Order: sequence, then C-alpha cells, then structure tokens
Amino acid sequence: MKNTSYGVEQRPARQAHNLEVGGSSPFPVTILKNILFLCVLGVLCGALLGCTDFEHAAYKTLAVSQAEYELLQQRMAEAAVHELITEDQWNRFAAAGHTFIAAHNAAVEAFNVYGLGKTKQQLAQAQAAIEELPKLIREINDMVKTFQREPAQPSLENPTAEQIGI
Amino acid sequence: MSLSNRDIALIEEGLRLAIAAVMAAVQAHAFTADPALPIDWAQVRITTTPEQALAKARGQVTGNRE
Repeated sequence: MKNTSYGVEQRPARQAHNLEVGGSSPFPVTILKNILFLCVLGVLCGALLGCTDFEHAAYKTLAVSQAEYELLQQRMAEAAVHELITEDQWNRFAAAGHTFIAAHNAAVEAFNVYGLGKTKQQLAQAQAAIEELPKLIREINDMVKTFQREPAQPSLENPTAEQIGI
Repeated sequence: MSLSNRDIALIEEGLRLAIAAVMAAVQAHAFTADPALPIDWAQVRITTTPEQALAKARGQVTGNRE
C-alpha cells in the first residue's frame, strides 16, 4: 500500500471513507467551511429576493436554510462515522446543531403565528427570529474551522502511518 | 493546470450544495405559488436531529459492509 499521497494523520480514516462510501470526497470537514459560508449567502440572498412579499421570501429563506443545514448535518454525520472527526468534535457540532435547529424552528413557528394574527408585534418577533439564523451559522462555521486545526485522533482500527511504523 | 482531488471534492460539494439550494427554493416557490392558499410552515421545519442523522449514517455504513 502506498502512503505518499495524502496527509499522514487523516490517511486511514480517509481511506476508510473512500472504500466504504465509494465517493471521491477525501475529507468532508475540509469543505464544510465552504458549505457554511454558502449557507450564510443562501440565507441572505433568500432574504433579499422577493422582498415584495415578506412571508413568501421568509418561507424561501427558511426552505433553503433547512435544506442546507440538513445537507451539512448529513455530511458531518458521515464524517463522524468514518472517524474523520473526533467524538468530541461531533458532540460540539451536535450541540451547535441543536441550537440551530431550535432557532430555525422557532423562526418557522414565529412566521406561522404571524400568518395567523398579522400583528406588528408578531411581525417583529418573526423578524427577530429569522435574523438570529445567520449569527448561528457563523458560530457553527467558526467551530468547524477549529476542527480543521484539530486533527481527528485515529482509532486502533485505523492506525496512523506512525503507529504502524511507516 | 490539473485539479487536485481536494479541488474536485470542493467542486462536487459546491455543486451538491447549489443543487440542494435550488431544489429547496423551487419547492418553496411551488408551495407559495398560489397566494390564496395558506403557507404550510410545517414543510420548512427541521425534523432530523444530529443523533438521528448519525444513526442513519451508521446504518448506511453497516448496510454497505453487509
């Protein structure tokens, strides 16, 4: 087996990922910061497009936010299963994910309530709830960036090249 | 200039993300196309928790091994 192509620390996990998933993505966490950056853009663009109808624009924004978060969550779960991130990193992501999900669903509920009553107070609450989302995405982004500086600890099932004496 | 595996992976992820975003926006547009109908906000709730996503990913790995 040749060991010269990739970084030593991540190589076994990367190989496991490639063998088991069959995909070409070598290290999902590396690209997560880009996904999250685009999530921010998606939310902002969604808010800017279709401004003539506030509720419809909010619905589209939340739909894009939902799709992109779920994609990110799926990729992080795959990274955790293939040991590309540590258990601690996964737990930190999961905690941030729960916070994001709660905020996202709170925004959905706020718009649902606004749709029923259409009061100024409900509108303000809905606006405040949706404005919270980019901040939370930024926090997850910053957290994932730290994952890249904290290499995953390989398990005994997937020893590093150093551990196997290469 | 040739692309590295990482470059290709980034492009793949970018495309995947863009497709997900476009599909979500198109679906959302369809759901809100008729202004006479009430908006179904339940459709845009996030219902899968990180734990459920992890269990699903584990299940897929187990399935691939069998």
